[in-house]
Amino acid sequence: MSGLSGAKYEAEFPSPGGTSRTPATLGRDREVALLLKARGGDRAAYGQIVVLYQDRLFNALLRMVGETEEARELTQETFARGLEKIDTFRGEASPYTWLFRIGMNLAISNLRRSQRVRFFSLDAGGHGGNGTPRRDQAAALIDRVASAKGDSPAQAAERRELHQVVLDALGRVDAEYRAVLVMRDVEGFDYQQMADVLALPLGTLKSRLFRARMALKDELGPYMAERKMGK
Amino acid sequence: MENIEAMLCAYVEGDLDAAGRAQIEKHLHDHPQHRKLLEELTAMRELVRGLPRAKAPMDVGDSLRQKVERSMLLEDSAAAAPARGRVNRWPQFFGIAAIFLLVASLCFILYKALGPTWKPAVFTQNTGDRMPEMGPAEQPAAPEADVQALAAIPLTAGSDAIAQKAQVFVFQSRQAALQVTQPDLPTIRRRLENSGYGIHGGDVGGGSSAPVLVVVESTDLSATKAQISRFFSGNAGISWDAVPAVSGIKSEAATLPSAAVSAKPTATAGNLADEKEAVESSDLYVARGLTPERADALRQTLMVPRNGSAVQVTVQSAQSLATTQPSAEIVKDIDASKAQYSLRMPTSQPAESGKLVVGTMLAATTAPSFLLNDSRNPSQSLPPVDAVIVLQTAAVPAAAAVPATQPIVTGQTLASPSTQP
Repeated sequence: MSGLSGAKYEAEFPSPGGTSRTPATLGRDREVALLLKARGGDRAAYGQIVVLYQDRLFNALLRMVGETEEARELTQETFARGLEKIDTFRGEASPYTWLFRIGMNLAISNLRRSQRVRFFSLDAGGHGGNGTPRRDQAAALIDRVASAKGDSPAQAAERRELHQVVLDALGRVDAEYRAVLVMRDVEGFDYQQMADVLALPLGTLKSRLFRARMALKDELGPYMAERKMGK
Repeated sequence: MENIEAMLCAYVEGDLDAAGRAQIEKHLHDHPQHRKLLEELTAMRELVRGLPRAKAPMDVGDSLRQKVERSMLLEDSAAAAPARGRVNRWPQFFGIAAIFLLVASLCFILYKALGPTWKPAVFTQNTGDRMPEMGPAEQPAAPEADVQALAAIPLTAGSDAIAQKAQVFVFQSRQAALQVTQPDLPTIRRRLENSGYGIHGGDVGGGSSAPVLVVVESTDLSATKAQISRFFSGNAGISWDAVPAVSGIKSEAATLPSAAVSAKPTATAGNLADEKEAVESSDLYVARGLTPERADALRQTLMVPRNGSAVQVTVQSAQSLATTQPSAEIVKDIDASKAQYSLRMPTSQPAESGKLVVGTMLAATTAPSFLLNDSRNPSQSLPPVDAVIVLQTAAVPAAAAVPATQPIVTGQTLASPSTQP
């Protein structure tokens, strides 16, 4: 039985610190070819798509919902829905944009259902499937980032605090604003990709992005002022 | 407003064209606080971009793999199911076909085993205690076979055969159209009483069975009388006597059974002329030796299709004679109120009221058995009457009438009943 193999396409973990904004890809044409093969019944091709996109999609959804477990479930659900709706893929958008749209709609639906304030956290993102805390994973991530940047432990702690403040602020803005911020700043989508996902005109999309940045500034304002004063 | 926001967004993103950037720069030059705002927005953009990237848990792919493999299994099962269903339906079809075949075979066997010989129960069983009321009897075997043979003639046969077949059907329909009219039982009772026959309620001993009432309705009464006469003459042990109408009673001796007949229980050819005359002069007869079995044989004989006539015969318990409306004599007694009820009943008692009289009468006459004998000549010690025969003229509906000139079926009579008293 063909499994969801495709390790050879496994995405390389992006360089930490956001220095690289380009996730691992095979190139749009190859990705489209893979999804078309999957649409033709090649489940191994879909497995390669999953391996290729799972980290990127999981990260984006984690930034949307703020909880690791919820992001994991949403990631799985996104790939499952993609497999169910694979016949609707026409190859006009990139496969990732097509899957991201599914995942983003799922995430926004979840956020609207819960209607709760999200307290995003780097290390309190829930538990793994076996009940073990994910704190070790987040801590390892932070340490890796700090190590890569050559930060001292104090600098690493400060950076970690900054990231937590940003995540908290991101969790407090509306889901629609959060979505455009994630797409633009986390995922690096261009305007057209964002417009495709949100089905918005470009002008409206840019206006919404500007308002989203203003909303995030309002959330981060006190911290930014304090930080500026500290400097 | 949206355009300004879009332009400011593009400025922060760094993808504004030169003209737009110049316009924004001019505005920011005039409004330094706005420059500060845009710088903060740009800084915050970098903060979000600087967030670390999380790696998906290892079980994301595994869980999805399991989910997909499960769906594949289900899909394979769903795809295989119709094929299996097609194969599995054949045994069901075979099973249903086998059941139908079995049922059909069973029906055929039952038909072969019971069909040709299966007949309704005849009424001659258990007639000693109480005679049940009987409807029209079936045709006797031989004539019925003839009729069926005629009915089986295909319509493609010759014109004579078709006409004969049509006549059979007409006869059958006319026979069916005949409805036996319930005889006037009070009148019959009165005639019997006036002729010296007493109706004795209750078990008077002797082991005799209750008499039967044979009602014969015919479209040709004289022919039927002759047929009855022949039947009586042809069966040993049967004696009969005519019961004249009330208006015709002038002499009690004339209404009594003739000494010759009474003295000779078995009819012979020597007295046939007198008997025939007696039979033809009346429409009410009493018979001795006409047991229920013989009454049934008589019924079957009379029911044989005859030339241009139709006959309907019923045999019923003669107890109906005793349970009918009170006769005029009784009514007179009831009206008298104080009169004594004297219907020669063994348990007759002085009636204190009409109601009591009627109640006593009914209690006596609805007894399990009763006898009909000659109470006026007890010295003769004749056995009780076994049957009362009533002849009535049947009216044939016009639609069922056929010309009597053409023979319908060759006249046949049953052979003499094998049952002998």
